[in-house]
Amino acid sequence: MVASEQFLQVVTDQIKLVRDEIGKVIVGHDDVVEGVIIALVSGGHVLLEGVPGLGKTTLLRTLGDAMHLDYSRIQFTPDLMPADIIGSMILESDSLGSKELRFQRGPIFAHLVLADEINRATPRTQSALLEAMQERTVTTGTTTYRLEDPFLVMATQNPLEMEGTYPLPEAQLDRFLLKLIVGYPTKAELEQIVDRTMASATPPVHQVINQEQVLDVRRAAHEVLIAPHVRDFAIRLILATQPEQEEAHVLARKYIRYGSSPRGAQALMQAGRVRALMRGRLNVSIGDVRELALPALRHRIILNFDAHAEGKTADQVVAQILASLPEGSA
Amino acid sequence: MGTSEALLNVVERARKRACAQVTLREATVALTIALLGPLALAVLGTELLPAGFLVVFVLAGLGLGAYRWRRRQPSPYGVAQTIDSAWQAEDQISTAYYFASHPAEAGALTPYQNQKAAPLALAGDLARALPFTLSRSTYALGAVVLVLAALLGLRYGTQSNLSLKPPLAPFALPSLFAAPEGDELRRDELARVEGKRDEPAQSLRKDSRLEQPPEPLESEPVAIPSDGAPSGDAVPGAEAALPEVEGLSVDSDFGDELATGSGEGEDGEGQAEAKDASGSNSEPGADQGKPQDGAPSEESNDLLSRLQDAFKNMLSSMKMDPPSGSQPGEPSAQESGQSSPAEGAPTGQEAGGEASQAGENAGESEGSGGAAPEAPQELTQGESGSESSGAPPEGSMSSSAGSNDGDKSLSESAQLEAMGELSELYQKRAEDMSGEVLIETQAAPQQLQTPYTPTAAGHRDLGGQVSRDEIPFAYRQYVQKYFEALRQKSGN
Repeated sequence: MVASEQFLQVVTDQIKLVRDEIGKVIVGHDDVVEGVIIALVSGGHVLLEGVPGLGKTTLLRTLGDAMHLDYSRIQFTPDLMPADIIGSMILESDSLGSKELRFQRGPIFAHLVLADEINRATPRTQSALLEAMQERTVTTGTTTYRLEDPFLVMATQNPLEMEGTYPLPEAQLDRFLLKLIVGYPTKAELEQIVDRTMASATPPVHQVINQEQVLDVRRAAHEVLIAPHVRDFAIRLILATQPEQEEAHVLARKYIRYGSSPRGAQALMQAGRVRALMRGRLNVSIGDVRELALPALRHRIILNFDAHAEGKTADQVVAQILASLPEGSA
Repeated sequence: MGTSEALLNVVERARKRACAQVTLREATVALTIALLGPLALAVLGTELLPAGFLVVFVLAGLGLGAYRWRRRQPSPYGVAQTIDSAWQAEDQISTAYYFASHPAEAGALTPYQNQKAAPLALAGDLARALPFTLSRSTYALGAVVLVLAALLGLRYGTQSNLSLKPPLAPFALPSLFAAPEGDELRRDELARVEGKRDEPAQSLRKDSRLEQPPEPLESEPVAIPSDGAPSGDAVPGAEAALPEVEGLSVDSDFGDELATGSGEGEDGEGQAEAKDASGSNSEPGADQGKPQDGAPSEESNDLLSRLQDAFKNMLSSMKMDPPSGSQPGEPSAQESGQSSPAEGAPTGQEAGGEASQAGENAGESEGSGGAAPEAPQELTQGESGSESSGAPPEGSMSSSAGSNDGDKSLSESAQLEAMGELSELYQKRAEDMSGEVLIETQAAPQQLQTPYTPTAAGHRDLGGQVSRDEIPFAYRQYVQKYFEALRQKSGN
C-alpha cells in the first residue's frame, strides 16, 4: 500500500482537481457532483432523480472526460432488449470466407454508463443491467465477460412522467449506493448557465486523472479509519429505521414498512470513507455519516400507508430519525 | 514526545478535568440531600424528628453521590469525543486516540491520523471543550440553603432563639390518627358487649344448630324438613337463647316472656302499650338500620295486632291489673323508644341503667326496643346495663312483678304448665309436619335471624318480605293453641 503522507495529499488534490474540472461545465449541484464522485471511487452506482434538462448527461460526460474514462449512454425505452445493453452474438466472416459467431459488446462495457430513464424499460431489461451492476460481469451463452474497473452506472429516473413506466423494485434499488436528488438551480446558478450557453466556446475539460489513479484513490479510501463510535452511530441509525427492531425509532414504527438493509450500513461506511478523503481527513466522522444518511438511505426505506397518507417522504423520516439519534460513545 | 503520547496526554488531562467536574456536580447533589436533614429538622424540631435522622440524610447523600459519581466517571475515549465535538474536530482526536490506545486495530493510516490529530489536540483549549458550568444540582443546593436560612430566620424571629427543639409549626399528629370521642365510647361499649356476649354464646354452643352462623336470607324457598327436627328441637333451645340472638327485637321480648313467664300479668298491659310505642318507633329505626328488611307488610302488621289482641285477651282472662310500680317505667321506656336511631346505643344503655337503678325492669326491654339501628347490640346492652348494676336475674323478675309478688308463683306455675303443653304440641306437630313452606322475600339481600327459622332454610325471591316481628307461618297455629291453652287454664 502506498500509505504515505505525500500520497494522501496527492489523492486529495486529484479529487479536488476532478471537482474543479466538472465545475467548469456543471454549474451548481455540488452535492450531486460529490455524490457521483463518491460512488465512482467507492465502487458503487448512483441513481439520480430529477426532471429533464438539469445536466445529468452532461455531468457524466464531463466526468468521463476529466478522468479519461469510457462513457456510454443508454436511453431506456419499453422496447429495449437486454441484448441492446449487454451485447449480442453476431455472425462474422473473415477474409478467408469462414464465418464464426463473435460477441459484440454492448454499451454496458464502459467505465461510465448513463442509463437514462431506467424506469421506462421492462423489468427484464432492467434486470440485465442490474445484474451487471452487481456482479460486474456479463454472461452471454457460455462466456462470461468481466466489466472493467472503475465501473459506474448512473441511472436516472424522471419523477414526472410515471405513466407507462416500470418502477424499479426495492431489491434493485438497494443496489444503488446513493440516490441523489437533482433539484432546480438557483437564480445565480441559472444566470451562470445561461451565460455559458450564450458564450461562443465551451470551456475545455482537461483530463486530470486516469483510470489507474482512480483505482489508487479507491484503495486509499479503503484505508480510511473508522472509529468504533462512528461505526456504532451508523449501525444505530440503520437499526432505528427498521420498525421491527428493538432499537427502532418511534417514527420508524409509525411510518416505515421496511427499513434499511445492511447494505445501507455498508454504503454509509464506504461513502463516508471517500467523503472523508475528499476533505483531507483520514478518518470517518459522525458528520460524514450524517451528511450521507439521506442519499444512502432514502431509496432503501419503504414507507407505509400512513406516511403516504400524511404526505411524509423518506427524506423527512430519515432526517427526523437522524436528528434525534444521540452520538453516544461506543 | 511522540504524537501518540502527546495525544494521550491531552486526553488524560481532559479526563481529569471531566472527573473534577463530575465530582463537583455529584458533591453538590450529595450536599443537597444531606441538607434536607437540617431542613426537616428546622421544620419539625427535635421533638418530632430526632437529631439522629441527620445522619440518615448525610449517609443517603453520600451514598447517592458516590453511586452517581462512580457511574458517571467519563472514559478517556468519551472525553476525546467530547473534545472533538467541542472543537469541531470531525472525530479526528477521538479516532486517533482510539487507534493509539488499541494498536492491534491500527491500520496503515494510523500514524498519519495521529500526526493530523496531535496538533489539533495540543492547540485546543481544554477549558473551552470542558468548561466548568453550574449544574442543576447547584441550583437545587442554593435553593435548599436559602430555604434553610429562611426557616432558621423564621425560627429565630418567632422564638428569639435558635433552639431546634420545638417544631416550627405545632403539629397535632396524634389527633390525625386518634378516633373521635364518640367512637371511643362506642368502642368501649362494644368491648363490654363482647364480654357479655361471650357468656351466653357458651350456652348457645350447646345447641349445635345455633352454633352455625346465621345464614343470610336467600331468595330460595324455605324448606322445612318433614322430620320436624327444626321445630321440635329448635324451639326450646331457641327460647333459651332468645335474649342473646341478634337481630330480633320483638321476638326476643316475646321469647323472654315465653321462657321466663315474668311480668306478663303484672305489667303486661303497660308492656303492650310500650310495645306499641316501641313497635311504632323501633321498626322504622330498624328499617333504617337494615334497609334490606324493607317496610313491614300489612300481613305482619296484622299479625302484630293479633298478637297484641292475644296478649290483651290473656291479660283480661287472667284479670290482672297492671301494677302501679310499672308506671314510672313507662315514660322512660317510651322516651328511650322514641329516641333517634342514631342515639339508640347510648340511650338504650342509659335506659337500661336507669331501669336497673330504679328497680324497674320494664324499661329494660323497651329501652332495647328503641335502639333499633343496632338492635342486636342494644338488646344485649340494655340487659347488660341492668345486669352490670349487680341485680340478680331473680331480682329482675321480682322487680317486674312489682307489688304483686304474691301472685308471681301462681302465674309462673301456670305458665310453666302452659310451656309444657306447648312443648308437647311442638313435638306432636313435628311428628306430623310435612311439606314445604314458601316465604316470599324481597329481592334485596336480607338477613333473617330468628330462632323460629331453621338455619338450613332458603328463600325464593318472589317479591314478598318477612318481618322480624312475624311469627312464621308454620308456627302460627301452635302459638294460637298456646294462648288458647293459657285461656283455658286461667278459666279453669
